Amino acid sequence: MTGGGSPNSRSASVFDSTYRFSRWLSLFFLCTLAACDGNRGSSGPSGSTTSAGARTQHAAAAPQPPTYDRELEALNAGIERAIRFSAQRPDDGLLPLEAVSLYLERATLSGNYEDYKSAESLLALQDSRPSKPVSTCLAQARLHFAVHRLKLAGSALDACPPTAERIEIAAMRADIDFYSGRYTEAETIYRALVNQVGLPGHYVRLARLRNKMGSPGEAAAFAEAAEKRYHGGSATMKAWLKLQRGLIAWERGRLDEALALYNGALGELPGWWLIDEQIAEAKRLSGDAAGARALFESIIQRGRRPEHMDELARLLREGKTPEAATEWIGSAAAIHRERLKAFPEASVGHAVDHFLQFGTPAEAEALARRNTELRPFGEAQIALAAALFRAGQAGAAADLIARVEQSGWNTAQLHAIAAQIYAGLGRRAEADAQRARAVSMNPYAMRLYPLAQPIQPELVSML
Amino acid sequence: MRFGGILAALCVVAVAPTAAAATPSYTPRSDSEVLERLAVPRLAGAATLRELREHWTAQPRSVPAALAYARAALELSRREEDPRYLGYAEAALAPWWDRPVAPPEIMLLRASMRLSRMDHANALRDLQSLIDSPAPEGHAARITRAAVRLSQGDPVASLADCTAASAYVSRLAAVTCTSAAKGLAGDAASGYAELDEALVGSAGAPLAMELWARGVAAELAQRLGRPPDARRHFEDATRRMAAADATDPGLLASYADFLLDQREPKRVQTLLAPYPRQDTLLLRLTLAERALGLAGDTAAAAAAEERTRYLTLRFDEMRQRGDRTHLREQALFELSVRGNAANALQLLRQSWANQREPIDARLYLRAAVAAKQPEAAQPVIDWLRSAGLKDVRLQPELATVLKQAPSR
Repeated sequence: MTGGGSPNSRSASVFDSTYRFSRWLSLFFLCTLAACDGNRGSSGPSGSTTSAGARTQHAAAAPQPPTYDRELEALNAGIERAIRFSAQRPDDGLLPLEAVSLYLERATLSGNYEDYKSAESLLALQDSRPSKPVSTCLAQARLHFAVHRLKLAGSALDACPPTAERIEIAAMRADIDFYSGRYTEAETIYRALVNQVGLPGHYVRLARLRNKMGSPGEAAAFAEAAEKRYHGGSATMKAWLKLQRGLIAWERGRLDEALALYNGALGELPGWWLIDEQIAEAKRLSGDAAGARALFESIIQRGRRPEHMDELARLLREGKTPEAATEWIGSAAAIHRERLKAFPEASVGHAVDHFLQFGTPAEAEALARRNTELRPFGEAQIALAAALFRAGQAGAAADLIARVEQSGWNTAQLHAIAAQIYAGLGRRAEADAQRARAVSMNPYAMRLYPLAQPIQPELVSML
Repeated sequence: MRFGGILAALCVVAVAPTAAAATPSYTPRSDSEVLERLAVPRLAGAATLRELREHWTAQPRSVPAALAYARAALELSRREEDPRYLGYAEAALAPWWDRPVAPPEIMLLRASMRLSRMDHANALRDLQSLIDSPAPEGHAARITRAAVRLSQGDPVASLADCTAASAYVSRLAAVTCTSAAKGLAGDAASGYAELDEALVGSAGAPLAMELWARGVAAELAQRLGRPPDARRHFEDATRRMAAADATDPGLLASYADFLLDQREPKRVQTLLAPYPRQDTLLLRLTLAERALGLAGDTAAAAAAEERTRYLTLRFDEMRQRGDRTHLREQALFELSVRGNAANALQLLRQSWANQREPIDARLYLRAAVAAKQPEAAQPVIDWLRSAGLKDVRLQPELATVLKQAPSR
């Protein structure tokens, strides 16, 4: 929980952890696409309408170094082309599916949820076709997965015909297992994929899982292996793989290494907000509040995402003009509420962050519960524990945290939050033990993951 | 009241570690002379105060670093009743101390520290600023102000703040707040019933929250003349406090006062023996040992004498410093230990401006009776009428005062 990075806050940081993890999640779909990238040539439609094709064409026309804007332009052009071709060849069922893939890829790149709607509309039209391409089920599963509808994603995979791409189905089933809290099942499949297929996406999935299971060294090795095995030309993918390595280093408290990897990622794809936000976070932790603020302002200028407004508000609240945060908090709240209406499943995790710090405890708890129902994995459960604690239900929060620990989830964040919950309950020995574990995994853990305290009179001792 | 207990605990501070330090002032021969070695203080699940300090000194303008250090130091000052920790906390907030507008979390903590110094005016100004702002800390400020209003004897204002904050706090916090306000306004019965029920339904509440709630419940039960219920809440609270290896001087002082009322000094002695550093508790221990001494326990009598000398020194030091943050405790000492009712009355007249809880009213009435100045109790009688407070513990002294000097 957090106040800011805590599932905290007391400070704003309470919420960072969920948010930070969400970045992983949203990007995960990109990884799925990347996994397809390698065999698209053999199994996909003719190259001209694929995203890789779009990029290749773009690169051939203008051999300039890649940037976030150029990647976005390439995707825009690819989507426009796919839609146009689809209109010209209404009998070709693969063209709309290609457009769906591109919409999802663009959503991941830009963070724009509207692309999910466009993808959903296209897939709805597919349903009315007398005969659907084999890969329709995969496109549906990808969309459901991307917007956190795990059950529907699983159902879509169940409906796949035997001729559908089995490797991708297996990978997605493992992903669903992971976010459903079935880590052993997920790991079994991930390991099989690494050993039997070995695409970069498989390595990076295993890296993510091991990172959350308390083996960040293994995770770092798998992520590095993923990067080495990527031989495609996507600057987005190259940047993303470096970013994942940076995040693993960050969660271990290796800040210099993380920053070097973030900068490496930025070198691959300058201007990507997803990398900038991590650099801003690093600046904040190192005490460069002005630098962090400037970077978040720049990110917001490039795309009005409420998560960044929340981050900026947290920084402004700590500065000389705390009242300047009010407008950002209000804007973020409005966008969160709009998103909750339009994309209830996809947005709820981000909204928990916001309402834990800036809303009522009851609202934060309700959102956190919904988030956990949708994806009952460790990160969501930790956020719910934070919300319960904030709402004064420390005992329930401790019970939940204990269950997360028993599930095999093992991160510095988990132990830092557990330490604060046990401290709130007066369970000193457990609190101290959890703190020791958190700090051994990440020396900065207690600063990164402060927990928002329940509201009570300041005169009452916190003990 | 629990709030009052906490305020009282904050008022009296200790520098010397034990009663054995009851010696004249000592001037060190050199700056390098070590006067006392302190244990490395640390709160549960947190870094040591030294580590937090190092982080803060590395980034003295960092709000999170300053807050972490200041919060821990303030908490230790409450637990240990040691003003040095409060000084550390104030130092951490120095860059923001005089700013009318500061980061909301800083303002909230600053208000708390000002209350610890009995600087109500500036504390209330900070709280009002937060309440007027859209910052989420406004809710904590509101419920904090409810507690302050309560300690100032204004149940109507307190209840208004409790009600306004209720959507942002747990049910137990909301009910504790409103029950305390209702109790001060004369409706202890319904306040107690609601709070008792809320406590039953709040298993797993944070420790601090439960101790606060049980302290209020015990106080309400006493007002209603239900000692067994009060005892149950005190025992539950102290049991949980002990299991957590925590110290809540306000709660312990309230429990000790209850036990002294129940004429159980031996239990007070057992309860407070582990806390010789906290002056509020040392005062209660002294009262208990005096009572035991009167009953023939010579060892207790001797201990009480030694503690009395120490406390005399402590209060004299405070008076010399012009420290007015401990007037209630000083009055209790003057009245119950030194038998100087006139001095006690004088101190209570001063403290009455900021502290109007049942314990203050009772002390005031007792002092007025003992000083044979029943008319001096008129402010208390006026307040009892305006607030509507009903408290069976006040009845004996109130009856005496009214008999000796019928109110206007």
